[in-house]
Amino acid sequence: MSAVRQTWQVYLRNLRVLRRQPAYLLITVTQPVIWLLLFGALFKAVAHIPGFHGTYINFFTPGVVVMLALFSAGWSGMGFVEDINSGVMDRMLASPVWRGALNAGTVLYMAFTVTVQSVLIIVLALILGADFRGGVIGVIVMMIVGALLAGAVASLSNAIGVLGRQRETVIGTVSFVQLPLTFLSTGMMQASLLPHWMQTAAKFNPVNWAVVAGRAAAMQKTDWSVVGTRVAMLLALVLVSAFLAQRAFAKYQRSL
Amino acid sequence: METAIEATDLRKRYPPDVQALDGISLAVEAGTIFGVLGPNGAGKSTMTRVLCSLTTPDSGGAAVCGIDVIEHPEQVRRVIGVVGQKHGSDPNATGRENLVLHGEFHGISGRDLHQRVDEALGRVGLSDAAERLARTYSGGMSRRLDIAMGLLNRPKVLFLDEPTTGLDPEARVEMWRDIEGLAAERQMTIWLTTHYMDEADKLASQLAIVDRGRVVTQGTPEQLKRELSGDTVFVELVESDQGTARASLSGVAGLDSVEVSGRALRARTGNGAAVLPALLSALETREIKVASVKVSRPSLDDVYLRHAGRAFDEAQGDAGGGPS
Repeated sequence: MSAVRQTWQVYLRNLRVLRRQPAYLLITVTQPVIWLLLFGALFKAVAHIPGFHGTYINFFTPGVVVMLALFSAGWSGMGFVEDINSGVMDRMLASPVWRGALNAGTVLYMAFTVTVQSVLIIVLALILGADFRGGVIGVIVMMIVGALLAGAVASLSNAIGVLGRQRETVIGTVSFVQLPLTFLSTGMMQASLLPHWMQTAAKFNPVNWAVVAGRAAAMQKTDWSVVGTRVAMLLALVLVSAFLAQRAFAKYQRSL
Repeated sequence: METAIEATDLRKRYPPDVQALDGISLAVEAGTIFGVLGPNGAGKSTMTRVLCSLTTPDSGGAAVCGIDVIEHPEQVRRVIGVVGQKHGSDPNATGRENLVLHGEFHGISGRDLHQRVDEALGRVGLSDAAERLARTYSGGMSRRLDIAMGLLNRPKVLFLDEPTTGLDPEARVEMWRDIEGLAAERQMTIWLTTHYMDEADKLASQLAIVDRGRVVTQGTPEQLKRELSGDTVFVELVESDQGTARASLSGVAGLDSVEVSGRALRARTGNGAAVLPALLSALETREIKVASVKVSRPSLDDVYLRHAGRAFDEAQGDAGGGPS
């Protein structure tokens, strides 16, 4: 019970930061718009490549949802770097708070932020003529998939933050993996148009699991077996990441 | 006597070669202010962190309120309040929000929490600033917010790690008053680390002086000073000593010990006023010019000098690097 309360309090604390930094809030809501418009325009010609099916906006919308999950949640660990340097972390660790709440609260917050961003993307995509054949349920599932990926990424970023303790470590590691993970997925390019080795690599890429599940749920007549397996894999990843974050926190405390 | 804090042969080394704790043993009586005095890098903070369950020692044992810190850290955390060296408040939250979050972390909630938060804010004089963001607070206010957070769970032992470092003189005096007040009204045990002699002298009823990870001496400030009978004569030289000052005083009767470092000469003696003329004329004979002279009763600095074998200021200077 107190574990849930404490997780919620950590979540509220993060939400406050978002509310009190208007610039950050503005970036959070404009980023999805810019991505969809910019990348949408840039890659529009992809739809003309022989072998590409459907419209690019239909294809690309789930890709943007997932990319945002990856890029937004990637920075989660910065908060802990800040807390470690300011002394907030010490005070939290010297209290009897359930250790898991520190991670879980930020994971929840990232899942929430990404969900808000997803809603914006979906509204914009509708205006641009996207056809969500999966219906309301399909769209909701796509948002859940984005939130799951965000949750997993947030845990991993938090782990990097408490182990590295420096902004540079988080920035370096996160930006090192973000783009390769994005391009090793079918977020921007149809699988059949990827080089063969990339198609293989994409199968092991959680970003691609999310793209495939989101697209299958929202943009097509939903194939629940495709969605179900990917959601299960993402759920497992969320748990494994949370476990790793927990280990990282323990390691941090031992190193003090 | 009821023991609130007990440490037995604590050792901790930070790789590669900083021996932060080198066999610390001490006992703190419940309901007292226990001062831990030492230069930067002496091991004060490491000791505090071990006792607060923030870190574990390589060997040795520690208990707070009879609870083993290493075996049951989660139980220790319920009975202690901690005010660390750095500010522990979230700058982007208001004073009240900081306190509420901290209370929830202690499992306090609802009406009880709100009462305690109001009470804590009032206790440290932050009621009017409660709705302001902590980042707008002055240094003294931030410190008081830290203390309010430390008090929220009504701890039996309050750890204050260099609470006045970085505060202006006025805020320091206020902080002293707060600390004394807390000890008197709540029957709390207060663990206070400091590198200010005057602070330890004024606040602590028991004192441990630490240096290089060891307790060099302990007792009440009065006891420690009494052990050093007599006076200290400080002589400030016009020029740095060339190795002759000490020798020049060898013939002066009544001097117990002489230490010279740079332009500072200090001599221990039974009666400062009585030896002064002889001491000055001995220096003059060797043409060592004197800038100023002062005779004083023993201070904690002398206690430190006697036990650590160097002056406090020197130790402060040469304690470079490593976690303090």
